[in-house]
Amino acid sequence: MDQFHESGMIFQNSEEKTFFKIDDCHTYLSMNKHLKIADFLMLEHKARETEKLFIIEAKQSIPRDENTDRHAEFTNEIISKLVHGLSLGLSLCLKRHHNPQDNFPDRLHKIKLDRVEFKLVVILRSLPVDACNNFRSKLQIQMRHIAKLAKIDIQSIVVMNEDMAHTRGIVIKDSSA
Amino acid sequence: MIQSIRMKNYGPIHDLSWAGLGSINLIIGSNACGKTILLKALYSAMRTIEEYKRGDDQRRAGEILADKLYWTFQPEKLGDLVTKGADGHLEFKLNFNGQDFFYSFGKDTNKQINAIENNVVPRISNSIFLPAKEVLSLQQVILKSRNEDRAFGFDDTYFDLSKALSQSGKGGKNYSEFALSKKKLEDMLEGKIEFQESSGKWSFKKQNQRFPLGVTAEGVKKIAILDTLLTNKYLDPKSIIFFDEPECALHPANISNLLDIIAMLADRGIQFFLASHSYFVVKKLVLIAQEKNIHIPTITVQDQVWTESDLIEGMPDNPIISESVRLYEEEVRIALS
Repeated sequence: MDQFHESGMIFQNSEEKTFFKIDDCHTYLSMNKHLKIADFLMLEHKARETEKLFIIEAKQSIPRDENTDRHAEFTNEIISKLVHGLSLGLSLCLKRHHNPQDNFPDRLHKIKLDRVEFKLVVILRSLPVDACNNFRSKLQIQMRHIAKLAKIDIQSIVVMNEDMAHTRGIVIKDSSA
Repeated sequence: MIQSIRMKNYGPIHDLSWAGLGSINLIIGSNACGKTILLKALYSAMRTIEEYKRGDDQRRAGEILADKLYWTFQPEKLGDLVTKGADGHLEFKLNFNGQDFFYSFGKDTNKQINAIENNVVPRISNSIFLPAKEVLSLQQVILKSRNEDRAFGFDDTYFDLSKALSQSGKGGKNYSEFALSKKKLEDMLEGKIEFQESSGKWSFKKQNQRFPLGVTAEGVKKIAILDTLLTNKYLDPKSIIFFDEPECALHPANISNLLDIIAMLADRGIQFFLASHSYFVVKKLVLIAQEKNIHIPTITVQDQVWTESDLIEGMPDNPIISESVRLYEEEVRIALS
Protein backbone atom coordinates (compact mmCIF):
# COMPACT_ATOMS: atom_id res chain seq x y z
CA MET A 1 0.00 0.00 0.00
CA ASP A 2 1.22 3.53 -0.73
CA GLN A 3 2.61 5.30 2.27
CA PHE A 4 3.28 9.01 2.68
CA HIS A 5 5.51 10.50 5.35
CA GLU A 6 4.69 14.00 6.51
CA SER A 7 5.67 15.95 9.65
CA GLY A 8 6.87 12.78 11.34
CA MET A 9 3.61 10.91 10.70
CA ILE A 10 2.68 8.13 8.28
CA PHE A 11 -0.38 8.32 6.06
CA GLN A 12 -1.33 5.19 4.15
CA ASN A 13 -3.86 4.27 1.47
CA SER A 14 -6.32 1.59 2.53
CA GLU A 15 -9.52 -0.01 1.31
CA GLU A 16 -11.51 2.85 2.76
CA LYS A 17 -9.07 5.71 2.30
CA THR A 18 -7.43 7.14 -0.80
CA PHE A 19 -4.73 9.76 -0.30
CA PHE A 20 -3.42 12.23 -2.84
CA LYS A 21 -0.33 14.27 -1.97
CA ILE A 22 -1.33 17.65 -3.34
CA ASP A 23 1.91 19.49 -2.71
CA ASP A 24 3.89 16.91 -4.71
CA CYS A 25 1.70 16.89 -7.82
CA HIS A 26 2.98 18.34 -11.07
CA THR A 27 0.09 20.74 -11.44
CA TYR A 28 0.92 22.36 -8.12
CA LEU A 29 4.69 22.29 -8.64
CA SER A 30 4.26 24.10 -11.95
CA MET A 31 2.60 26.99 -10.15
CA ASN A 32 4.05 29.90 -8.20
CA LYS A 33 6.24 28.37 -5.51
CA HIS A 34 5.10 30.94 -2.95
CA LEU A 35 1.54 29.62 -3.14
CA LYS A 36 1.17 27.51 -0.01
CA ILE A 37 -1.08 24.50 -0.01
CA ALA A 38 -2.32 21.67 2.23
CA ASP A 39 -0.50 18.33 2.23
CA PHE A 40 -3.22 15.87 1.27
CA LEU A 41 -6.59 15.20 -0.21
CA MET A 42 -8.03 12.09 1.37
CA LEU A 43 -11.20 10.44 0.15
CA GLU A 44 -12.94 8.25 2.70
CA HIS A 45 -15.26 5.80 1.01
CA LYS A 46 -16.89 3.49 3.53
CA ALA A 47 -19.71 1.18 2.56
CA ARG A 48 -23.18 2.62 3.27
CA GLU A 49 -21.73 6.00 4.25
CA THR A 50 -21.60 9.30 2.40
CA GLU A 51 -18.19 9.88 0.85
CA LYS A 52 -16.01 12.37 2.66
CA LEU A 53 -13.28 14.45 1.09
CA PHE A 54 -10.65 15.53 3.61
CA ILE A 55 -8.25 18.39 3.00
CA ILE A 56 -5.42 17.66 5.41
CA GLU A 57 -2.58 19.82 6.62
CA ALA A 58 -0.02 18.14 8.88
CA LYS A 59 2.44 19.91 11.17
CA GLN A 60 4.61 18.99 14.13
CA SER A 61 3.02 21.58 16.44
CA ILE A 62 2.19 25.30 16.70
CA PRO A 63 4.16 28.28 18.01
CA ARG A 64 4.04 28.17 21.81
CA ASP A 65 2.99 31.69 22.69
CA GLU A 66 -0.57 32.31 21.54
CA ASN A 67 -0.37 36.10 21.70
CA THR A 68 2.38 36.71 19.21
CA ASP A 69 2.58 37.78 15.58
CA ARG A 70 4.21 34.43 14.85
CA HIS A 71 1.11 32.64 16.07
CA ALA A 72 -1.21 34.85 14.01
CA GLU A 73 1.01 34.28 10.99
CA PHE A 74 0.90 30.54 11.58
CA THR A 75 -2.91 30.57 11.81
CA ASN A 76 -3.22 32.57 8.59
CA GLU A 77 -0.83 30.21 6.85
CA ILE A 78 -2.88 27.16 7.90
CA ILE A 79 -6.09 28.83 6.68
CA SER A 80 -4.48 29.69 3.32
CA LYS A 81 -3.23 26.14 2.91
CA LEU A 82 -6.66 24.65 3.61
CA VAL A 83 -8.43 27.07 1.26
CA HIS A 84 -5.87 26.55 -1.50
CA GLY A 85 -6.04 22.78 -0.97
CA LEU A 86 -9.80 22.89 -1.26
CA SER A 87 -9.67 25.03 -4.44
CA LEU A 88 -7.04 22.98 -6.22
CA GLY A 89 -8.60 19.72 -5.03
CA LEU A 90 -11.95 20.66 -6.52
CA SER A 91 -10.34 21.77 -9.79
CA LEU A 92 -8.47 18.46 -10.01
CA CYS A 93 -11.64 16.50 -9.30
CA LEU A 94 -13.40 18.48 -12.04
CA LYS A 95 -10.50 17.81 -14.43
CA ARG A 96 -9.98 21.49 -14.98
CA HIS A 97 -6.30 20.72 -14.54
CA HIS A 98 -5.43 17.59 -16.40
CA ASN A 99 -1.81 16.58 -16.15
CA PRO A 100 -1.37 12.80 -16.49
CA GLN A 101 1.85 13.06 -14.52
CA ASP A 102 -0.21 14.00 -11.45
CA ASN A 103 -1.42 10.40 -11.17
CA PHE A 104 -4.63 11.79 -9.73
CA PRO A 105 -6.56 8.78 -8.35
CA ASP A 106 -9.44 7.74 -10.54
CA ARG A 107 -11.56 7.30 -7.45
CA LEU A 108 -11.27 11.04 -6.79
CA HIS A 109 -12.43 11.82 -10.31
CA LYS A 110 -15.56 9.82 -9.69
CA ILE A 111 -16.75 11.42 -6.47
CA LYS A 112 -20.14 13.07 -6.52
CA LEU A 113 -19.20 16.62 -5.76
CA ASP A 114 -22.77 17.66 -5.04
CA ARG A 115 -23.04 15.11 -2.24
CA VAL A 116 -19.56 14.61 -0.85
CA GLU A 117 -18.95 15.93 2.66
CA PHE A 118 -15.92 18.16 3.03
CA LYS A 119 -13.67 17.97 6.09
CA LEU A 120 -10.89 20.47 6.69
CA VAL A 121 -8.47 18.76 9.03
CA VAL A 122 -5.29 20.02 10.67
CA ILE A 123 -3.11 17.41 12.35
CA LEU A 124 -0.64 18.91 14.83
CA ARG A 125 1.41 15.92 15.79
CA SER A 126 2.46 16.68 19.35
CA LEU A 127 -0.15 19.21 20.44
CA PRO A 128 -2.13 18.35 23.63
CA VAL A 129 -5.84 17.73 23.07
CA ASP A 130 -7.03 20.83 24.91
CA ALA A 131 -4.73 23.00 22.80
CA CYS A 132 -6.14 21.32 19.66
CA ASN A 133 -9.59 22.34 20.89
CA ASN A 134 -8.50 25.96 21.35
CA PHE A 135 -6.85 26.13 17.94
CA ARG A 136 -9.93 24.62 16.34
CA SER A 137 -12.09 27.35 17.89
CA LYS A 138 -9.74 29.95 16.44
CA LEU A 139 -9.87 28.39 12.96
CA GLN A 140 -13.65 28.07 13.09
CA ILE A 141 -14.02 31.75 13.93
CA GLN A 142 -11.60 32.91 11.25
CA MET A 143 -12.93 30.52 8.59
CA ARG A 144 -16.62 31.16 9.24
CA HIS A 145 -17.13 33.10 5.99
CA ILE A 146 -15.12 30.64 3.92
CA ALA A 147 -17.16 27.74 5.31
CA LYS A 148 -20.37 29.60 4.48
CA LEU A 149 -19.26 30.36 0.91
CA ALA A 150 -18.17 26.78 0.26
CA LYS A 151 -21.23 25.39 2.10
CA ILE A 152 -19.09 23.44 4.50
CA ASP A 153 -20.40 22.69 7.98
CA ILE A 154 -18.28 24.74 10.42
CA GLN A 155 -18.05 21.66 12.64
CA SER A 156 -16.16 19.96 9.80
CA ILE A 157 -13.14 22.10 10.57
CA VAL A 158 -11.20 19.91 12.96
CA VAL A 159 -7.82 20.02 14.70
CA MET A 160 -6.31 16.86 16.13
CA ASN A 161 -3.01 15.44 17.28
CA GLU A 162 -1.30 12.27 16.07
CA ASP A 163 -3.01 10.02 18.62
CA MET A 164 -6.46 11.30 17.66
CA ALA A 165 -5.62 10.94 13.97
CA HIS A 166 -4.46 7.40 14.65
CA THR A 167 -7.69 6.58 16.51
CA ARG A 168 -9.61 7.96 13.53
CA GLY A 169 -7.53 5.81 11.16
CA ILE A 170 -5.99 8.75 9.30
CA VAL A 171 -2.40 8.01 10.27
CA ILE A 172 -0.73 4.74 11.12
CA LYS A 173 1.86 4.28 13.84
CA ASP A 174 5.37 3.27 12.83
CA SER A 175 5.61 -0.33 14.07
CA SER A 176 9.41 -0.17 14.04
CA ALA A 177 9.48 2.88 16.34
CA MET B 1 3.53 33.90 53.06
CA ILE B 2 2.36 30.36 53.72
CA GLN B 3 5.21 28.19 52.49
CA SER B 4 4.00 24.67 53.17
CA ILE B 5 1.06 22.70 54.53
CA ARG B 6 0.67 19.26 56.07
CA MET B 7 -2.72 17.77 56.94
CA LYS B 8 -3.71 14.32 58.17
CA ASN B 9 -7.14 12.84 58.94
CA TYR B 10 -8.84 16.18 58.31
CA GLY B 11 -12.39 15.32 57.16
CA PRO B 12 -12.12 13.98 53.61
CA ILE B 13 -8.40 14.82 53.54
CA HIS B 14 -6.54 11.70 54.63
CA ASP B 15 -2.99 12.79 53.99
CA LEU B 16 -1.81 15.93 52.24
CA SER B 17 1.61 17.54 51.99
CA TRP B 18 2.05 20.62 49.88
CA ALA B 19 5.36 22.47 49.90
CA GLY B 20 6.96 25.16 47.75
CA LEU B 21 3.84 27.34 47.78
CA GLY B 22 3.79 30.50 45.70
CA SER B 23 1.97 33.80 45.49
CA ILE B 24 -0.90 32.11 43.62
CA ASN B 25 -1.83 28.55 44.53
CA LEU B 26 -4.58 26.49 42.98
CA ILE B 27 -6.60 23.61 44.39
CA ILE B 28 -8.46 21.65 41.74
CA GLY B 29 -11.04 19.02 42.42
CA SER B 30 -14.55 17.78 41.83
CA ASN B 31 -17.44 18.43 44.21
CA ALA B 32 -17.03 17.12 47.78
CA CYS B 33 -13.36 16.22 47.32
CA GLY B 34 -12.24 18.45 50.18
CA LYS B 35 -10.96 21.54 48.40
CA THR B 36 -13.21 23.96 50.32
CA ILE B 37 -12.33 22.19 53.58
CA LEU B 38 -8.66 22.67 52.77
CA LEU B 39 -9.27 26.39 52.14
CA LYS B 40 -11.27 26.73 55.37
CA ALA B 41 -8.63 24.90 57.40
CA LEU B 42 -5.97 27.26 56.09
CA TYR B 43 -8.18 30.25 56.74
CA SER B 44 -8.96 29.17 60.32
CA ALA B 45 -5.25 28.74 61.01
CA MET B 46 -4.31 32.09 59.53
CA ARG B 47 -7.06 33.95 61.40
CA THR B 48 -5.91 32.30 64.63
CA ILE B 49 -2.39 33.55 63.97
CA GLU B 50 -3.73 37.02 63.13
CA GLU B 51 -6.10 37.35 66.10
CA TYR B 52 -3.55 36.05 68.61
CA LYS B 53 -2.30 38.91 70.81
CA ARG B 54 -4.07 41.46 68.64
CA GLY B 55 -4.97 44.55 70.64
CA ASP B 56 -6.11 43.60 74.12
CA ASP B 57 -7.15 40.07 73.21
CA GLN B 58 -5.95 37.87 76.08
CA ARG B 59 -7.11 34.55 74.67
CA ARG B 60 -4.66 31.73 74.17
CA ALA B 61 -4.03 30.54 70.62
CA GLY B 62 -5.78 27.25 71.40
CA GLU B 63 -8.93 29.10 72.48
CA ILE B 64 -8.95 31.26 69.35
CA LEU B 65 -8.40 28.24 67.13
CA ALA B 66 -11.10 26.14 68.80
CA ASP B 67 -13.57 28.99 68.43
CA LYS B 68 -12.55 29.55 64.83
CA LEU B 69 -12.89 25.90 63.87
CA TYR B 70 -16.22 25.62 65.69
CA TRP B 71 -17.77 28.58 63.89
CA THR B 72 -16.12 27.87 60.52
CA PHE B 73 -17.01 24.20 60.23
CA GLN B 74 -19.94 24.22 62.67
CA PRO B 75 -19.59 20.65 63.92
CA GLU B 76 -21.35 19.46 67.08
CA LYS B 77 -17.93 18.84 68.55
CA LEU B 78 -14.46 19.48 67.09
CA GLY B 79 -13.74 15.74 67.05
CA ASP B 80 -16.30 15.42 64.26
CA LEU B 81 -13.71 16.99 61.95
CA VAL B 82 -11.48 13.92 62.31
CA THR B 83 -11.73 11.59 59.30
CA LYS B 84 -14.35 8.93 59.98
CA GLY B 85 -12.70 5.61 60.77
CA ALA B 86 -9.20 7.09 60.99
CA ASP B 87 -6.89 5.50 63.54
CA GLY B 88 -4.87 8.60 64.35
CA HIS B 89 -5.57 12.16 65.36
CA LEU B 90 -6.35 15.03 63.04
CA GLU B 91 -3.10 16.89 62.40
CA PHE B 92 -2.55 20.27 60.82
CA LYS B 93 0.71 22.07 60.23
CA LEU B 94 1.58 25.09 58.18
CA ASN B 95 4.80 26.98 57.76
CA PHE B 96 4.43 30.73 57.58
CA ASN B 97 7.55 32.74 56.72
CA GLY B 98 9.72 29.94 58.02
CA GLN B 99 7.81 29.50 61.33
CA ASP B 100 5.55 26.56 62.13
CA PHE B 101 1.96 26.55 63.31
CA PHE B 102 0.73 23.12 64.37
CA TYR B 103 -2.28 21.59 66.09
CA SER B 104 -3.75 18.18 66.60
CA PHE B 105 -6.79 16.61 68.27
CA GLY B 106 -8.69 13.34 68.36
CA LYS B 107 -12.22 12.30 67.60
CA ASP B 108 -13.35 12.71 71.22
CA THR B 109 -12.27 16.33 71.44
CA ASN B 110 -15.17 18.55 72.31
CA LYS B 111 -14.18 22.21 72.26
CA GLN B 112 -10.70 22.36 73.72
CA ILE B 113 -7.46 22.00 71.75
CA ASN B 114 -4.45 21.26 73.91
CA ALA B 115 -1.93 20.13 71.31
CA ILE B 116 -1.11 23.42 69.63
CA GLU B 117 2.21 25.02 68.83
CA ASN B 118 2.33 28.53 67.44
CA ASN B 119 5.76 29.86 66.55
CA VAL B 120 4.51 32.46 64.08
CA VAL B 121 5.23 36.06 64.97
CA PRO B 122 1.96 37.99 65.57
CA ARG B 123 1.03 40.03 62.54
CA ILE B 124 -1.20 42.98 61.79
CA SER B 125 -2.32 41.97 58.28
CA ASN B 126 -5.69 40.32 57.67
CA SER B 127 -6.58 37.27 55.68
CA ILE B 128 -10.01 36.82 54.17
CA PHE B 129 -12.07 33.99 52.77
CA LEU B 130 -14.18 34.84 49.72
CA PRO B 131 -16.95 32.24 49.44
CA ALA B 132 -18.43 31.14 46.13
CA LYS B 133 -21.52 33.25 46.77
CA GLU B 134 -21.57 36.97 47.34
CA VAL B 135 -22.53 38.23 50.80
CA LEU B 136 -23.45 41.88 50.21
CA SER B 137 -27.16 41.25 49.81
CA LEU B 138 -27.26 39.13 52.98
CA GLN B 139 -24.76 41.08 55.02
CA GLN B 140 -27.20 42.40 57.63
CA VAL B 141 -28.89 39.01 57.97
CA ILE B 142 -25.51 37.34 58.47
CA LEU B 143 -24.41 39.86 61.07
CA LYS B 144 -27.68 39.56 63.01
CA SER B 145 -27.70 35.78 62.85
CA ARG B 146 -24.22 35.60 64.33
CA ASN B 147 -24.03 38.67 66.56
CA GLU B 148 -27.46 38.48 68.12
CA ASP B 149 -28.81 34.98 67.56
CA ARG B 150 -25.46 33.14 67.84
CA ALA B 151 -26.93 30.59 65.44
CA PHE B 152 -25.33 28.11 63.08
CA GLY B 153 -26.04 28.66 59.40
CA PHE B 154 -23.65 31.29 58.17
CA ASP B 155 -20.17 30.10 59.03
CA ASP B 156 -17.24 32.27 60.04
CA THR B 157 -16.10 32.76 56.44
CA TYR B 158 -19.37 34.61 55.76
CA PHE B 159 -19.44 36.32 59.15
CA ASP B 160 -15.84 37.56 58.96
CA LEU B 161 -16.36 38.80 55.42
CA SER B 162 -19.53 40.62 56.42
CA LYS B 163 -17.63 42.31 59.25
CA ALA B 164 -14.69 43.15 57.00
CA LEU B 165 -17.03 44.82 54.52
CA SER B 166 -18.52 46.89 57.35
CA GLN B 167 -15.13 48.28 58.27
CA SER B 168 -14.92 51.94 57.46
CA GLY B 169 -11.80 52.92 55.56
CA LYS B 170 -8.68 53.42 57.62
CA GLY B 171 -7.16 56.85 57.42
CA GLY B 172 -4.22 57.72 55.24
CA LYS B 173 -3.55 57.14 51.59
CA ASN B 174 -4.71 54.12 49.66
CA TYR B 175 -2.10 51.46 49.06
CA SER B 176 -0.34 52.55 45.89
CA GLU B 177 0.40 48.88 45.19
CA PHE B 178 -3.31 48.31 44.58
CA ALA B 179 -4.05 51.38 42.44
CA LEU B 180 -4.00 49.65 39.06
CA SER B 181 -5.83 46.56 40.32
CA LYS B 182 -8.56 48.76 41.81
CA LYS B 183 -8.92 50.69 38.58
CA LYS B 184 -9.30 47.48 36.62
CA LEU B 185 -11.86 46.13 39.09
CA GLU B 186 -13.85 49.34 38.84
CA ASP B 187 -13.64 49.19 35.03
CA MET B 188 -15.15 45.71 35.21
CA LEU B 189 -17.91 46.95 37.51
CA GLU B 190 -18.77 49.90 35.22
CA GLY B 191 -19.99 51.58 38.39
CA LYS B 192 -19.54 51.51 42.11
CA ILE B 193 -21.08 49.68 45.04
CA GLU B 194 -21.77 52.03 47.93
CA PHE B 195 -22.96 51.50 51.48
CA GLN B 196 -25.61 53.96 52.57
CA GLU B 197 -25.42 54.63 56.27
CA SER B 198 -28.98 56.06 56.32
CA SER B 199 -30.64 52.87 55.11
CA GLY B 200 -27.94 50.45 56.20
CA LYS B 201 -27.99 48.95 52.71
CA TRP B 202 -25.67 48.60 49.77
CA SER B 203 -26.60 49.97 46.37
CA PHE B 204 -25.01 50.02 42.93
CA LYS B 205 -24.31 53.38 41.36
CA LYS B 206 -23.82 53.52 37.61
CA GLN B 207 -23.30 56.96 36.11
CA ASN B 208 -26.02 59.03 37.80
CA GLN B 209 -28.38 56.20 38.51
CA ARG B 210 -28.58 54.25 41.72
CA PHE B 211 -29.87 50.67 41.73
CA PRO B 212 -30.91 48.54 44.69
CA LEU B 213 -28.59 45.61 45.27
CA GLY B 214 -31.42 43.17 44.54
CA VAL B 215 -31.36 44.05 40.85
CA THR B 216 -27.59 44.01 40.61
CA ALA B 217 -25.95 41.02 38.97
CA GLU B 218 -24.39 38.41 41.28
CA GLY B 219 -21.07 38.69 39.43
CA VAL B 220 -20.97 42.47 39.94
CA LYS B 221 -21.51 42.04 43.67
CA LYS B 222 -18.70 39.51 43.81
CA ILE B 223 -16.22 41.82 42.12
CA ALA B 224 -17.44 44.68 44.31
CA ILE B 225 -16.55 42.72 47.43
CA LEU B 226 -12.90 42.54 46.44
CA ASP B 227 -12.92 46.19 45.42
CA THR B 228 -14.43 47.20 48.77
CA LEU B 229 -11.86 45.23 50.79
CA LEU B 230 -9.05 46.93 48.89
CA THR B 231 -10.68 50.34 49.30
CA ASN B 232 -11.40 50.10 53.04
CA LYS B 233 -7.88 48.73 53.56
CA TYR B 234 -9.01 45.56 55.30
CA LEU B 235 -6.53 43.97 52.89
CA ASP B 236 -2.93 45.07 52.68
CA PRO B 237 0.02 43.83 50.61
CA LYS B 238 0.73 41.07 53.16
CA SER B 239 -2.81 39.69 53.28
CA ILE B 240 -3.80 36.22 52.18
CA ILE B 241 -6.98 35.68 50.17
CA PHE B 242 -8.68 32.30 50.14
CA PHE B 243 -10.97 32.39 47.11
CA ASP B 244 -13.50 29.59 46.70
CA GLU B 245 -14.64 29.10 43.09
CA PRO B 246 -13.72 32.54 41.74
CA GLU B 247 -15.50 31.60 38.51
CA CYS B 248 -18.90 31.40 40.19
CA ALA B 249 -21.50 33.79 38.65
CA LEU B 250 -18.97 35.42 36.34
CA HIS B 251 -18.98 35.65 32.55
CA PRO B 252 -15.89 33.94 31.04
CA ALA B 253 -14.47 37.31 29.96
CA ASN B 254 -14.81 38.57 33.53
CA ILE B 255 -13.26 35.39 34.94
CA SER B 256 -10.31 36.11 32.72
CA ASN B 257 -10.18 39.77 33.82
CA LEU B 258 -10.52 38.82 37.49
CA LEU B 259 -7.66 36.33 37.23
CA ASP B 260 -5.50 38.99 35.59
CA ILE B 261 -6.26 41.26 38.55
CA ILE B 262 -5.46 38.44 40.98
CA ALA B 263 -2.10 38.04 39.22
CA MET B 264 -1.46 41.79 39.62
CA LEU B 265 -2.37 41.72 43.33
CA ALA B 266 -0.18 38.64 43.83
CA ASP B 267 2.65 40.52 42.20
CA ARG B 268 2.08 43.28 44.78
CA GLY B 269 2.39 40.90 47.71
CA ILE B 270 -1.02 39.33 48.41
CA GLN B 271 -0.93 35.54 48.53
CA PHE B 272 -3.86 33.69 46.94
CA PHE B 273 -5.27 30.24 47.44
CA LEU B 274 -7.89 29.51 44.80
CA ALA B 275 -10.16 26.48 44.73
CA SER B 276 -11.84 25.70 41.46
CA HIS B 277 -13.30 23.00 39.27
CA SER B 278 -13.44 25.21 36.21
CA TYR B 279 -11.50 24.27 33.11
CA PHE B 280 -11.58 27.94 32.15
CA VAL B 281 -9.88 29.06 35.39
CA VAL B 282 -7.16 26.43 35.07
CA LYS B 283 -6.53 27.33 31.42
CA LYS B 284 -6.32 31.06 32.14
CA LEU B 285 -3.92 30.47 35.04
CA VAL B 286 -1.72 28.33 32.80
CA LEU B 287 -1.53 31.26 30.37
CA ILE B 288 -0.73 33.70 33.23
CA ALA B 289 1.99 31.38 34.56
CA GLN B 290 3.57 31.02 31.15
CA GLU B 291 3.22 34.65 30.12
CA LYS B 292 4.55 36.08 33.40
CA ASN B 293 6.94 33.20 33.97
CA ILE B 294 5.62 32.59 37.48
CA HIS B 295 5.15 29.33 39.32
CA ILE B 296 1.55 28.50 40.19
CA PRO B 297 1.70 25.48 42.48
CA THR B 298 -1.37 23.33 41.99
CA ILE B 299 -2.76 20.41 43.90
CA THR B 300 -5.39 18.07 42.62
CA VAL B 301 -7.15 15.17 44.28
CA GLN B 302 -8.35 11.92 42.83
CA ASP B 303 -9.36 8.87 44.85
CA GLN B 304 -8.11 10.64 48.00
CA VAL B 305 -4.60 10.97 46.57
CA TRP B 306 -3.33 14.56 46.31
CA THR B 307 -0.95 15.26 43.46
CA GLU B 308 1.16 18.38 43.03
CA SER B 309 1.99 20.12 39.77
CA ASP B 310 2.93 23.57 38.54
CA LEU B 311 0.87 25.41 35.93
CA ILE B 312 4.01 26.92 34.40
CA GLU B 313 4.53 23.44 32.96
CA GLY B 314 1.11 23.43 31.29
CA MET B 315 -2.30 21.93 31.98
CA PRO B 316 -2.19 19.41 34.82
CA ASP B 317 -3.51 15.90 34.41
CA ASN B 318 -6.76 15.76 36.38
CA PRO B 319 -10.43 14.83 35.91
CA ILE B 320 -11.52 18.35 34.86
CA ILE B 321 -8.97 18.44 32.07
CA SER B 322 -9.67 14.80 31.20
CA GLU B 323 -13.37 15.56 30.86
CA SER B 324 -12.71 18.49 28.52
CA VAL B 325 -10.37 16.26 26.50
CA ARG B 326 -12.99 13.52 26.39
CA LEU B 327 -15.63 16.00 25.24
CA TYR B 328 -13.36 17.29 22.50
CA GLU B 329 -12.53 13.80 21.29
CA GLU B 330 -16.25 13.05 21.20
CA GLU B 331 -16.83 16.28 19.29
CA VAL B 332 -14.18 15.35 16.72
CA ARG B 333 -15.64 11.87 16.37
CA ILE B 334 -19.08 13.35 15.65
CA ALA B 335 -17.63 16.00 13.30
CA LEU B 336 -15.83 13.42 11.18
CA SER B 337 -18.49 10.70 11.22
